[in-house]
Amino acid sequence: MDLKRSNVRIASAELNYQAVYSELAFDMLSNPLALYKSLTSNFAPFGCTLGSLGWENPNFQNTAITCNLSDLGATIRIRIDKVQIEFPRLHELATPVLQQLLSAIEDTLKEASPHLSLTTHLIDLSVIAVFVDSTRGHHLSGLANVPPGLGNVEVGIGFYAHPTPVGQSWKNLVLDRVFGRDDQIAIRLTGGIPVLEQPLETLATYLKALFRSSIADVGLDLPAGTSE
Amino acid sequence: MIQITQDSRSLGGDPVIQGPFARRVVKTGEWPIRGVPSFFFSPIPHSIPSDSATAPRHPFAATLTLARDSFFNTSSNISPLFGSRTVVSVPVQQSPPQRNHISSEADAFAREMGLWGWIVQLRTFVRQELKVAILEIELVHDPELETLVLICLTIKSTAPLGQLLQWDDKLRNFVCEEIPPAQRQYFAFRFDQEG
Repeated sequence: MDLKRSNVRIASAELNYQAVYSELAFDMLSNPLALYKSLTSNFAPFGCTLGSLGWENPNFQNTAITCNLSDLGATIRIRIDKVQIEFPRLHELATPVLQQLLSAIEDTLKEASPHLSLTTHLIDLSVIAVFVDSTRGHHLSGLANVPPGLGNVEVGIGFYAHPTPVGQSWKNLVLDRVFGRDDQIAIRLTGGIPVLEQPLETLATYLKALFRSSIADVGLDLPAGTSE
Repeated sequence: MIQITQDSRSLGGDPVIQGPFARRVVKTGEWPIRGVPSFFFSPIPHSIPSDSATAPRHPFAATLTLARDSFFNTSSNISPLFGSRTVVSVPVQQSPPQRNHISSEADAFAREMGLWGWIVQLRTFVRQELKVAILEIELVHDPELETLVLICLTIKSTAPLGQLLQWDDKLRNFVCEEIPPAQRQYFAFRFDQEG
């Protein structure tokens, strides 16, 4: 089957990133002032002030020191078992800025707890893309045949990785409809990448390439530009 | 519980009761309290206090919490129940006027082009490193290349020319070191010396 190719551009992108520690960071959270100090210094260029810092304590596991970068719309949560970062408006940030933010996270963790290491990156990237020269129905009909008995339906497709041993990378890709908008498609890329395979200092570039290649595999091409 | 609050956002306005007396407006400077055995009064100063008699009327932040709701008869006027207590408003430090403005067109363009992260960093750099009070960000068209749209950061200051030139150098260094050329081309800078 020949793969249909369509050009798309990104309308919005949201990234939820988690980095899992090699061990529980009791030491780091027992000295939160050092962590606050590191956050303040490393994220100052991104608009971090004392008012950006916070403390969440719904229960022990979810206790987190937070840093809310309101100008960027990003939230960082440093928990006892992992660090979480939400970028609900990733499409507004260039890749180098994302890389700077990730590097700032790495520096913060190193300063606050020199012995702490990361084991796995977990990514959850949700993108709304707009078709430039095609429609979602037209494009997805080339990837899946709808059984006639289902009638007139819209198609969504998920590609899920087989269960993998710990320490190996995996990814899932879901192509879904945007309700009522045949010119748009919702793309969700989730995955796990061992830190040994991909260090944090180059993760942003890797993510960009991973997303580009993943959607290229299903016939969606992005233009070269700054908004990736 | 009743709270009197006023923060720096409500410049010069009277404090407003929140809670059961939400619609009552209290006269600034006085709050009637008498015979209340349990209360906390915690002004939250924004700056160093000065002479309240000579100081102009300033915004202040204060929270008055009456710990025992039972002292209030919500159906009647509260003034007769209590005596008076003077609340001194704490003047806000008169810092230089800050103006950071980004036009809606520049905002939308920066976000659409994925340049917003640089705007945030540039704005922070100007604020923290140059300590410039007034920064305006607008969308402009290059006079020679009309198709080229630029995000122009205008820094206004009364500083002498030599200082402006130093800032210009600092800003250029920051931009050249941090922003890749593909995105750098969308930014322009202007220094306005104000008399």
